[in-house]
Amino acid sequence: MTYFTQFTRIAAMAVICVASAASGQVNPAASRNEEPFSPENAILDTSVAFAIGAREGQQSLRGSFGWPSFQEGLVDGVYFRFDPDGYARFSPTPRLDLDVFEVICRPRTYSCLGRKDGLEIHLTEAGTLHLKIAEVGAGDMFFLSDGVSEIQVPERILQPLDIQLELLLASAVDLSVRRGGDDIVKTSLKGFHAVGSYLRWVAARQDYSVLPRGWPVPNSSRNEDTVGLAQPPRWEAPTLYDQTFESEIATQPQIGTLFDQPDLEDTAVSELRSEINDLKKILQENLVDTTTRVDATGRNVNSQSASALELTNLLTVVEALKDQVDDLSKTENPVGVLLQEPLVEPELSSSGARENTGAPTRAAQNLQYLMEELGLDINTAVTVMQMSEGRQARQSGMGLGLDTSINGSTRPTGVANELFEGDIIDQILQELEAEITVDSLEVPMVDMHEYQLLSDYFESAALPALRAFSEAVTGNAVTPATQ
Amino acid sequence: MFLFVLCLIGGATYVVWLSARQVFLAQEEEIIPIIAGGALDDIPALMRGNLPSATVSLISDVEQRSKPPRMCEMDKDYFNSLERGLNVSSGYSNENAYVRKYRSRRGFLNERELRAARVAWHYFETYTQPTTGLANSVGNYPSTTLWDTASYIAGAVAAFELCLIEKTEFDSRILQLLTTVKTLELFRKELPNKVYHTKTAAKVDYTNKPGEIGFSALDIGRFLVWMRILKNRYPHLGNTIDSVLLKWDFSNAVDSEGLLFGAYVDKETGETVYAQEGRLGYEEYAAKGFALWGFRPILAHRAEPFLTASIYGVQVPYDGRDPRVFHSQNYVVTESYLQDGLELGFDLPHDDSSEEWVHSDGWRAEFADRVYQVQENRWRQTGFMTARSEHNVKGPPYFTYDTIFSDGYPWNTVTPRGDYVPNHSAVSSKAALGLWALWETDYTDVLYEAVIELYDPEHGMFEGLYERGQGRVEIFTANNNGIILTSLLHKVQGTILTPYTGDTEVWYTAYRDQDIRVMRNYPDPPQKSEWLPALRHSVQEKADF
Repeated sequence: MTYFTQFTRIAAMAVICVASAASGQVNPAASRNEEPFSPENAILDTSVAFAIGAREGQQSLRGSFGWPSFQEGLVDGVYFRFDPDGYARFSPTPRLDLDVFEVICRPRTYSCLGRKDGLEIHLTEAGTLHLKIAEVGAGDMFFLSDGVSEIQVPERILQPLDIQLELLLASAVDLSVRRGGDDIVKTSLKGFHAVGSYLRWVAARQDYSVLPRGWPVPNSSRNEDTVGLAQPPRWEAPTLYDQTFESEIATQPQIGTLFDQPDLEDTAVSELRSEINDLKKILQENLVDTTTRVDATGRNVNSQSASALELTNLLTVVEALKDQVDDLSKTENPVGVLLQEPLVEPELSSSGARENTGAPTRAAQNLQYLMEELGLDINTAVTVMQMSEGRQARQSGMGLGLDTSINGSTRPTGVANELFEGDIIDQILQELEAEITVDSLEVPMVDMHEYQLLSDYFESAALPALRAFSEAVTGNAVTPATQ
Repeated sequence: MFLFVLCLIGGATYVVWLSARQVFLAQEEEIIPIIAGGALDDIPALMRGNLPSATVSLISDVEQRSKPPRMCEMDKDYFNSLERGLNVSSGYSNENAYVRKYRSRRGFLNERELRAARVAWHYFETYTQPTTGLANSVGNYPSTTLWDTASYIAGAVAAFELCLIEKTEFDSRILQLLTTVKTLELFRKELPNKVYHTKTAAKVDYTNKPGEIGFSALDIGRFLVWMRILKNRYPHLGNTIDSVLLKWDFSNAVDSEGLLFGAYVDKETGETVYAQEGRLGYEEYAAKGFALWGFRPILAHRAEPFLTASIYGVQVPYDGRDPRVFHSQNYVVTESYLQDGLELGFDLPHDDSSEEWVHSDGWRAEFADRVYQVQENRWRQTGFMTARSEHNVKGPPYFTYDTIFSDGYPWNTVTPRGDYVPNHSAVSSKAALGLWALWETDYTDVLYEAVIELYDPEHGMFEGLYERGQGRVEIFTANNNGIILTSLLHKVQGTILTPYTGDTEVWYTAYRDQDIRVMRNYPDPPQKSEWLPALRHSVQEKADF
């Protein structure tokens, strides 16, 4: 009897424990949604723009507490607003009233959750999006619709999404879950892409580098100067000049930050590098083919042969320079010597080497990068570095009345260590165009034709167009080459 | 001959004397007497404070209203003899006063109402900070505004008049509160900051951290209403109240045209920016608060510019200032009309004698009728119980304007930043009981049943009941509980504001020997020529569909 009583008691206690544990389970989303206001929940700076054009608004509150500011804007086809605690709404209508994606963050953390109807998305620790759909059971089928047609997607969408699936979801209009031919869930995916980007941006402490390529913000990591970007004065400059000036001021330091953190180089940089390498290949192949073809027809043989020869010479020079740069970068204390040497008008000897064993490592690396990765000749590369330094000097001297002009006599006073691909391309374009007309005289081995090809490429910045151009010249399809 | 000449001279002298006398007397009759407060008033500023404030009872020599007794001191047949004007038809009078279609509820509180009153008062017992005497605006979050402090005063007055507390506690609470308010650090030495920490009485920002935001003319207006109610009802508090207000600088709060201005800090420059504050509904209520202390906010008290939106056959008035231009939402909610009706009886500030059913600020009562009617119509035509107001919510976005109309949309529930959040639409407890107190109809009986037991005995009355079935709005606020107590008190005593029974006031006589009154824009006692005008607007005679 005693054992029975004890057993009964234990069983009853166990039942009570289980019941209390079950009742104690709280829907995390619901609990977050009912969190009382606390200023410590602020995790975002609403003056840092999530997208170009976003503005920071001030709230006129009737009550005694709340968030004094918020940010609102339009990106990727959806309007958005978010508070300092990360609470955000995304909707295709400016009232944020229809088809709303709501984002709620766990208090005092960067862990956020996007939700719409029965759909929830959150970031995994690996940084991938993870989808949860309410009322989904085994055997259910998933369909994505673009409004006209639909495709079935695997059940794998309920696991952390790979990039392909994420892009597929981002491009779809609706997600349907079917069971036995009937739709049990049909959710609009409008705003999916923006919410996913927002979740990553929040998790990265408003770092722009995590935003997808093409996102309309300066493609750089967060910097102090990005603070306040969403404030109206930044966008309400009375003149276009002021806007440009503001934009430059806001953008320039971010460039440095990217290069200061090489790990943050995004795919855009590598793709650009790849495309430039493609160009080099195409250029070589094109010249060889052209030379061959012209030989066969007997027209302009001398000039084309001379072009090929000049190119070969240039490549030889580049190789020699590369070796030299490697040597320079291995030098123990290279700083200072190069600073004393004029970087303009470098001599091009047969070996292509410069006697500047004391060149700064950074400058050497940059020079190497420009020649090897971007395929520039030494003249252009050095000029690009000069322009970059001149630009920095302009900025540092801005407002101080300093003479920041760049000319042939200007010597660099520092190390050109912060460059940005977009700016480099602009500079290269200008430089190439200039060299086509001017430097061709200084470097008679390379004629205008090669430079024109390169210039055309940069102007178009589109590989297909180059391929088409190449095809037009060679008559053969060109396979993109990679290094 | 000599006698003849003598008689001639004597006769001429008499004629001259007679003519001179006539001329003299005639001139005497043409002398225009100097009337205090008139155009020819040349009483020096030093003495103007002693003038009596002109009220209807003073000017027209009619009987002033009297302060009703506390509920526990009322005769059992008190309400049997109460005149309610039930046979008076509704509409405007020649003086632009208005009689509403429905009367207010009057009578003793029943058990359910008394329990609700006790629970509502318990909010203030629970959330008043012993160190400062300030009550938290929302639950245990230690911050408050002047608006919510006024709600606390409303709660204390109701608790005392409904005999929930005695004078000792009432005086203790009010004196501690007023002492704290007097010592509050003002926003840039002008007026109280928008928000204060209730434990320390330090001025804080919206995140309750030390800082300053600016001042709110609406909040100050409501606080002034309750300062006047306190002073008129309890003359022994008059000096304390005057000393509080005589520390404030009103020079930037009311401009020469009679508009109300709030202040905020420019984020870029850190300078004070004064901006017109208030939209139709709240603006006029706050204006009357200022007018009760002698200010002349004549433009703020006018309805214009206003437009109407036809909703369920009712032309609902809303503020005509475009939110896209002025960046201020023009929300129509019940609350400001309720407060005007409950606290001021829809009367003008100088009216201290009209009957309870005659509202001398006629258009305010008529607009309030429309605001009531459209909500009843929605219930009758859709089934949604409707009593809309601004209210707090638990969790983001923490606060919503649950409006009848705003930003071009009817039944628009929006957050302060403008999001449309229909899931937060609710039957507001304070709005429901306020409507119930002011409109004795079948519909408000339904509202009453919905909210009268909507409470947590430990914390007070819940904020409301969600319209879409999510249950109660589980948050407790000073404003909600204060207005509920005011509504219950109104049932017992009618209009909360009672006439001033004294003669001169320190508020008007202080600093007469200095330039402080001019520097801080302290007014003189209002005279008849300075009364806010009684206006009317076109009346909707039939339903508009």
